[in-house]
Order: sequence, then C-alpha cells, then structure tokens
Amino acid sequence: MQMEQVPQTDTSGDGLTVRFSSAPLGVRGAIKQIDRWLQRCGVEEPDRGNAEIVLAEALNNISEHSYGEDAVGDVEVTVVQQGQELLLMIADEGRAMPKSLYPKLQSTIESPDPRELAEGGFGWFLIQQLTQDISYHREGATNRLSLSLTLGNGG
Amino acid sequence: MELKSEERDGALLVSVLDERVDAAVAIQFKDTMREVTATPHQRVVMDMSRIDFLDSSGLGAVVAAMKQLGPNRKLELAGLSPTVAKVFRLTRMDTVFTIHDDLSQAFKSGVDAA
Repeated sequence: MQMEQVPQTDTSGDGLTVRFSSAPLGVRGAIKQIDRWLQRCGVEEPDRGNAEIVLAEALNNISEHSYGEDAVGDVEVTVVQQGQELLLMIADEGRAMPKSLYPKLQSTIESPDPRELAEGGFGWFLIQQLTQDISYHREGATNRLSLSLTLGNGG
Repeated sequence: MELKSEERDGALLVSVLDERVDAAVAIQFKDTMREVTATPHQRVVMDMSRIDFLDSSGLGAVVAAMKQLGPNRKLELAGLSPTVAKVFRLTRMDTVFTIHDDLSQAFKSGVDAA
C-alpha cells in the first residue's frame, strides 16, 4: 500500500499535531512542516536546529526500529510550546521499545569513540544531549515518547 | 541526491547540491560519493555549504564516504552550517575530519588552512 506523503495537520491553541507515514519522505515532510511552525511561533536558532535534530533522530528510530526497515506505519507528533519549554510528543504503533533500553535513556548515553569511525549509534546520544527530559511508555499498542527541550539556552 | 564534482588546485572538489542529507538519502549519498570519487585525487574537499540539515544518518554517510576513499586519500569538509557543525561537534566527529570554514579557506594557496 502506498502511504500518504502529505502530512495531515491540526492546529489548535499553542500546539501543532502532524500525522504522517514513517517512510523517509513522510518523515522529511513532517520535520519541515514542524520547523515552519516553530519559525512562525518565533522560535529562533539554535533552538530550531536543536528541535530539528531531536525530531529527526527520534523519527528515524521509529522508522528503523519500531516499524522496521521493511514496514511503514503511521506516526503522530504533537508539538507544544509553553514559555521556555518545547515539548515533542511522538506516538507510533510499531514494536515496543526493548525494556533493556529504558534504564539507558535515564543515564548518560555515550557516543561512539570518533576514532572508531562508526557510521551509526549516534541517535539517542544526540537526543539526550539536546533535551532536558526523555520519557517513554507503551500504552496498549502505542509507543509514546515525550521529549522536552529548553528554549533560549544557547548552545 | 545531487553532487557536483570538479578539479581545483589538484584536488577533487565535490559540492553537495541538496539541502538535506538525512535518512531519506543517506545510502544514495554514500553510493554517489563512491562514483564521483573514483578518481586518482589524493585530496577530496566536500563543499557542504548548501546543506542546511544533516542528521546522524547523514553523518554516517559522510563517515562512510571517507572510509571508502581508503587510508591514503583524505576527505576534508568545508562550509558547515551551524546546525550541521553542531552534529559534528556533539559526536566529536569534528576531531576526525579537517574542517574548513569555507572553500576559500580550504584552497588558500601554499598554507595549511586547517
């Protein structure tokens, strides 16, 4: 089945909800749309770039691990800006995150030694570096990941 | 994925014409880099100034592009936007590549611009 590539959008109050396919171009369209919304909300650099990195890494994880390389599914992202906090709430219906990952997310994640010239393994590290808080829970068949960023921190 | 390559000062200059190097194009980027760098040039300089976003898949593809050059050839990067530079800095991959502010620094004659 061909997945819809144009994200569907709800805007209400000071939040934005986007629904899209986990296929790479669906992800790309959603990221662009959220970035434009952040720009309209007056979120400036480097915060917009940070949010874009965090969102891209979280959505890549969903495409690669939750739905897996050979499948696509729906993803919903809700973005809420409250003062200095930007909250990204991401839901998908793929596989649950392995329980072995939970404690890792709450402790300091190391990035690969650059000298090893790794081509991957940076995603969660980047998310942790750029967020204030990470929370995940499984609700029925839905994965719910919440990421919060502090705006105006510089960096 | 569009890459343009030309010779400059004895080096191969590869310009990335896409604005995003992300999961959607990472494999294509790596493959296209292999094709355009199939030349005898020892020094390869990548102009990244048009890229406004690169995620960890894109970073992995740049690392892969360097590795496929082999141990005797060098990949240098130029013109990283602030967001792209941040991905390199946070992952400390900025310690692995020679990174130039822009092409004029990369091709400053006679001195090591790094």
